[in-house]
Amino acid sequence: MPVPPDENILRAICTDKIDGDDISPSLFKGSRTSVSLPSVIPLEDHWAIFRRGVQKPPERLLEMIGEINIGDLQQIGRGFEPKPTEITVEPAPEDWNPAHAEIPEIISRGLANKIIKALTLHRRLPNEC
Amino acid sequence: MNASYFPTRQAIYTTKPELIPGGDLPNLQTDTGDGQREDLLLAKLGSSGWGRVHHFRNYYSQGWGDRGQGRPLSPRSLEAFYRFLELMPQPRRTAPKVFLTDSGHLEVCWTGEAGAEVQVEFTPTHTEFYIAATETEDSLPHHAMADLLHMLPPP
Repeated sequence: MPVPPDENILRAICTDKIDGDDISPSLFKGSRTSVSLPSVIPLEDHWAIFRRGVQKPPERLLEMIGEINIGDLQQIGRGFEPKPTEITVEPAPEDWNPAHAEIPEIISRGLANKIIKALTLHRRLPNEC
Repeated sequence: MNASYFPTRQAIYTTKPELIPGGDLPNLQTDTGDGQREDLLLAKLGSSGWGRVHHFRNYYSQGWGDRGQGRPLSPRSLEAFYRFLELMPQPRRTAPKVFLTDSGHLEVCWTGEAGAEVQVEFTPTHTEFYIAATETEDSLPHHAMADLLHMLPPP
């Protein structure tokens, strides 16, 4: 069952997808985009989960966490021209992250750019974790 | 000891005449061009871009990524990327940023004049591009790289 639109999703942003202040559209482009639900595990605890689960030091490091409301995400998808896209978020818990979820739909590069601009970005220094 | 006591040794492998040193080797390149490519990277993307490509080439092995779905950098993507850099004019503003997609493709992004955002991804067979100002999202085969560069706002 899809996650309701009043919830938020989180997306780990690692060094391969961010350079300075620029974020690659491939963060959301494609299908089965991996996200996480702060309603299951609080945002603060996601720093440790992402560092354990998605980092591969010293090269691939967690730089930021992007957050967006699912309803806002769906509005961006429906309003995207020339190809309105219905976006859903499906829970997909994994051993390393019980809050794991997926966006199953194919997201185009143009739509990914719109989503990235709407993200709330959380940044934390490594020694703050 | 009589040498004829031992049976004649027969070669298991034979070397093609064109590969024997000293022969005529028209296709052999003693310089792989790596040095020139390093210079190209530094000139067009700066030290940051050079460092990122170095990391993507050497440290992102099979299985990186959120669910281990990340692929290592595609050699064909890398070749297309270098070809693009050769043809791309010297950046007048800031150097393009370079990223690695989960599919193992290199991607460059820049903001041209008047804030025109441009993104180019090099797949093994074609080049995908996006021009934000016109919402243009399309792809061309690698052999049309020069034509593509004419369409893109310069960095």
